Amino acid sequence: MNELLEKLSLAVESGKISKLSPYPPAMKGLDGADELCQQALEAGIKPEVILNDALIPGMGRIGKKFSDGKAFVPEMLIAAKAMSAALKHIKPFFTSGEVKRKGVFVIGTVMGDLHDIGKNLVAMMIEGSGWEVVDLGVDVKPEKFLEAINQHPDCVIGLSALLTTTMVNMEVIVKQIRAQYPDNKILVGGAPLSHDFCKKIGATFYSSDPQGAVEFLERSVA
Amino acid sequence: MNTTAIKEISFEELLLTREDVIPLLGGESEYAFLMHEYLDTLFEQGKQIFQIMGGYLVFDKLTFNPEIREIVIGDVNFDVKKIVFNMLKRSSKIAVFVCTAGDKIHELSRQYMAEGDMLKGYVYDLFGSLVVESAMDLVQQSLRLEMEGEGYKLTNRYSPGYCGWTVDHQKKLFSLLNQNFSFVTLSDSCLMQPIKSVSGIIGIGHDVKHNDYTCHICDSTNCLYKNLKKHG
Ligand code: B12
Repeated sequence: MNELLEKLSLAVESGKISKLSPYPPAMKGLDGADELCQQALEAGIKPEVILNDALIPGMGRIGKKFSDGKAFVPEMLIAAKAMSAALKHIKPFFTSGEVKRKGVFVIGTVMGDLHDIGKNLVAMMIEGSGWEVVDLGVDVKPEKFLEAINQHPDCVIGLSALLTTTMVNMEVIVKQIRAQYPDNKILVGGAPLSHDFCKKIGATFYSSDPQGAVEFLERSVA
Repeated sequence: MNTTAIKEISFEELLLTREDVIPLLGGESEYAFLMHEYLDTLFEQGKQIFQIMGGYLVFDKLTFNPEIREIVIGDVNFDVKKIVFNMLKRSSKIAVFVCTAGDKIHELSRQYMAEGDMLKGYVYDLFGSLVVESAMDLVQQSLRLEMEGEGYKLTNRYSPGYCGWTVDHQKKLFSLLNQNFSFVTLSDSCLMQPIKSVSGIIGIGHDVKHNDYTCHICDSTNCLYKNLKKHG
């Protein structure tokens, strides 16, 4: 692979945001994701190639490390910041249509629940894997999900809940979505959930962490 | 007679240090220095950020029904499941408690996240959880002091949603509290507000036990605090 892309990918994975950022100490003074992405574009590398061969794999590796218990949440957040420093340069190409995202992912914390740290992490990692993310926020009622699907007919939906008492609201939401949109994929997650619960309520997929969701989405567009 | 004690706790009283927080954020890692700045601000402004309130109400009208692992506190029955029942069954009194770190920490955390500073938002969120748990340690400590005078010991604290005890019972638990506890409210879906709040019960008796290390009896497999520190 192109040396510049390799460097960029490593910068994202290690959370090296820009030349000035002090972290990681071993990369002090080196260019960060911000500069490297700019340089890659200037070198004539297609934005799509930068995204698919450098940025997404970089994010993927940190997501995998977290999933394997080899990285903590802060490391994922720092990497995501480096990712967005690079994405800033790619965004104009999304707008112009030159680079296409993999799809739209609509996510929300279900009605009755206000916990959103987990949901925010999932949203961030999915965006970093090349999807457009529509975040509906917390305490989201079924109607709001339906409205979002209406706007983005091919979207994948993500539901998050942190207590068993709000987890049951997922069932209500899934039923209402299924009644109108039987084919849209629905991902569910949050501390008290399980594969069995996912199956029972008729959702498509459960993952205990963001990486599982990213990998599922990857398979679903393959 | 039921005794009530409610107090406002100042952030300083918690005597928190960086050493209490860093392990929850991955230890003295290479990236820890990035979070020190946030922690400095939190320690400096903790007094303004946190509105800590905690309290308990002690009940001595109790019934224990071992065959269905049910504890009746006052007139309210709780099917607390095996672990909690066994720890509390020798209690002569039970304290029902609530404690909160206030709303502001959650608001600040989400404000930083919305501004794109996820790391800062995350550190603030985690700090809020630590504050409410530490404040509850103090509430438990004052209950212990009060009860020691009468020769009583305390069990660990147990919350609806832990050890098989259903979160639904939050409604029943809150029905035992009086208007002095209105600093925490409960939604229809059993969510306490402020978010950074905890609730539960503590057994009090001559023949009850406190375990310093409780992780082995808990069924949580992915707890943030698992094996990190003693709690409750
Ligand atoms: C910190 C914490 C607290 C803190 C702060 C709460 C907060 N979140 O702000 C405090 C101490 C205040 C607290 C209080 C309570 N808590 Co609490 N808490 C936790 C703890 C230890 C960590 C939560 C957390 O922040 N995790 C970090 C984030 C990043 O993880 P996450 O939200 O789970 O998200 C990840 C995954 O779930 C997944 N994910 C999340 N959403 C989605 C969506 C999709 C689509 C996908 C694919 C994946 C996905 O990806 C995320 C990243 O990996 C958990 C145990 C645990 N390990 O989760 C218990 C836990 C959530 N709490 C629990 C309970 C019961 C309570 C209380 C009801 C106890 C009580 N009676 O006092 C209260 C309720 C508070 C309220 N306001 O009503 C239970 C809930 C289970 C249940 N029975 O319902 C848990 C699971 C502990 C347990 N018993 O196992 N809690």
